[in-house]
Amino acid sequence: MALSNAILVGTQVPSLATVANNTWTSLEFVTTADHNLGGWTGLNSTSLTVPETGYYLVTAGMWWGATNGVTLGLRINVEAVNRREVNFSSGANNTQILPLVDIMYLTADDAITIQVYQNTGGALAYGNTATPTLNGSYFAAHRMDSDASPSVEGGLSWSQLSTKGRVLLT
Amino acid sequence: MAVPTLAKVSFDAVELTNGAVTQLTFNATEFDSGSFVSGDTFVAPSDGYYHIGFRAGLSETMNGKYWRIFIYKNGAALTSPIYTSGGNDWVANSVAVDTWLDASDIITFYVQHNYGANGTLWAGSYTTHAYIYQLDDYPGTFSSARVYLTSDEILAASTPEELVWDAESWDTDGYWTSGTDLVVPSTGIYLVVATVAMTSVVDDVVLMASTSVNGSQFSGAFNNWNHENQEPPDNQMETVLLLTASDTVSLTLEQRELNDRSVESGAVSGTALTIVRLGDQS
Repeated sequence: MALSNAILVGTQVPSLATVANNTWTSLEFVTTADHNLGGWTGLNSTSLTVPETGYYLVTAGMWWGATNGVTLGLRINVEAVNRREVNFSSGANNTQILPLVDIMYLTADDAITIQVYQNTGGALAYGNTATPTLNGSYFAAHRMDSDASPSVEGGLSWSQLSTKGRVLLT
Repeated sequence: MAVPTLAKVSFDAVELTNGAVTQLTFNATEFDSGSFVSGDTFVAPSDGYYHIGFRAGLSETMNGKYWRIFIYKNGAALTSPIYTSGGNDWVANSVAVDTWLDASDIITFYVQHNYGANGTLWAGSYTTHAYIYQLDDYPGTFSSARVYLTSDEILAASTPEELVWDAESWDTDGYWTSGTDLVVPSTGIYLVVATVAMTSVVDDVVLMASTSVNGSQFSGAFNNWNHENQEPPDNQMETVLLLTASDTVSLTLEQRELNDRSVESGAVSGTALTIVRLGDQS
């Protein structure tokens, strides 16, 4: 079997150490090609392009530095429209990972962006790594309505992946 | 339809030491088509991409405290959402993540709280469970539906309400015609995702959500979000259910603010319920 049009990527805020207060801020998708099955484009930018039309299971997460009593948000935009958002009140002066999951119908060439939000009153640290760990942030998607082998140029075959055994989300 | 490589377990109602990161122990295995379960762990049967979901609750009245749930891989935290309790009630939350696993990689589940004293895990399969399935198992035929609201729905305080859906984004197999229920077309294992959006800022409010099966509010999955000084909250919950043909799945919400609160509508980012068939049971 093959995993169709799947991608696992890290996310980070380009060229910034923190996220500004009260501003929805776009994240950059960062990865190696190892976890790009099926021709997603736009890596190392803030806009990821959907390779094929279909139904996708989407998960994402954002690591935040310690906060207390503020709102933390994570949003997935499709073609610049908010498609799904999660936000939570933080507390107990602790770090937090904000998780998001949804099933989306996406069209080929749709542009996906991820944005994050915080209202601490000042800048706030975030998970900034291309190889997400507990302290990282990530985006993952795979098409649920097809088992077609990845055939788009630039995608790696399942056998190549299995051989490589490359781990991104560890 | 093929059988997905998948397992789901519930957990023992153990006492949780205040402040300690505690590994949970498995109580029962609901299904395990991939031979994942080994003691109190999931062990990956082969190299591949996996989707892991974990839900856990604490049966203690919390306010201004945190509840943290961890998915561990090979002894290290893979992801760890932390939830604040601002609503002076029990908490139950969930997380789902996609990841690559090598064969024999080990997945375990931990929780942590700062309730102030030892607390008890809120056990019961609807509140505290975990599942894993291999993403490259394609069920053969895509079967799914998503329903949503076209106008905001008012929730009266402390009154559970089963949402009446207005429209569907897609429906491959006649899951929905009208009303509250998605009707399962065939026996199998299903992934259910509920997304909940509210229209206004809340403070010290408990928002409860459960995916009901055949009208039983707690037979599916249950989240108890306690919001504190919060912008309009948006949350999701996900579960995997073994369902029989003609079973119904619905979404029930309850909010414990003193006043009415509205659930946000909209096909794009509003409150919705989505179901996808993952495959046969066996």
